[in-house]
Amino acid sequence: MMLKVSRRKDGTVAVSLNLYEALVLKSLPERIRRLLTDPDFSDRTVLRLFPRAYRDPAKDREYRRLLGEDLLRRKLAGVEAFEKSLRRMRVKQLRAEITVRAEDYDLWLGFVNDMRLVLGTELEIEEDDWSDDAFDASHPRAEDLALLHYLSWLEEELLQASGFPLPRITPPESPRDSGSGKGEGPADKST
Amino acid sequence: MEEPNGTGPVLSGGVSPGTREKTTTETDSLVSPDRLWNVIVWNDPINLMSYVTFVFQKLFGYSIELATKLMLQVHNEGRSIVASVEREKAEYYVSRLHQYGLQATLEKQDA
Repeated sequence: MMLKVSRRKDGTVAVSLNLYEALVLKSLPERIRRLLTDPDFSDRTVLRLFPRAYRDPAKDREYRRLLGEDLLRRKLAGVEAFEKSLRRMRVKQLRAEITVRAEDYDLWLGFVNDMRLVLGTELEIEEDDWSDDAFDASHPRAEDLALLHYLSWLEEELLQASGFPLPRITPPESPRDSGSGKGEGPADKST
Repeated sequence: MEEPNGTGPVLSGGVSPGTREKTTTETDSLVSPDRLWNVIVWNDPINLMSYVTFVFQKLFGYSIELATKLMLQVHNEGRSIVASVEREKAEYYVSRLHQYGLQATLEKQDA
């Protein structure tokens, strides 16, 4: 059965998925938490989560000094919100249902996106790596690559339940864009 | 020096999405009241077009049309100026964009 995300009338979002997928999601908070505990700012992946704000190094240092803590706290809040919802998931046979509280939606979505950033940075994803046709199951990091694709799909589904309209992408301009003209679904292009 | 985008949106004074975080001092806006700072979002190969469009709507209160236009500019041109505001507000927006996982910087608008 497919992953299904829907917004309920009370504003909560229901994420319905296979138990196995839910258990994979359950293992993710630890991956990010490890990066965020005593973050190593020489690590490329950490840097992707804490990008610079100013081109000028001195100004940027000052910016990080003032606002770095807030960003770290926000990322950790996302980890916590995600973790909590996974702990509370309802399981029936081999299906799981996760409830995302309305007030947690941004944090939850942010966590999924942070996980994508981490994976994408570790895998050194380039712009042209997104075609589903190109997926190579014998890739040495096929599991993480597949996880990244899965999280992209989850994120697209979450966005459809955001309450905000999604972009309608015009027909493809280049061969590279073909197949993603509708702007929805797991094969949607990254920006 | 990159030129500011002539069609970039200037955030009108009345729009203030979300609760403002505690900022440092107010003096920046007093020192150079006519100096605007550009908030720039940079392209990256990981963030989804739909996600970026969502963030622009949620954070700035932009319409789907404007949010899509800016997102496509990021995607096609590598970057886009998404707001031009006074410095403190620009820093706030950049910090919020970072929280959403976007790559964003601020720079003084050319005089």
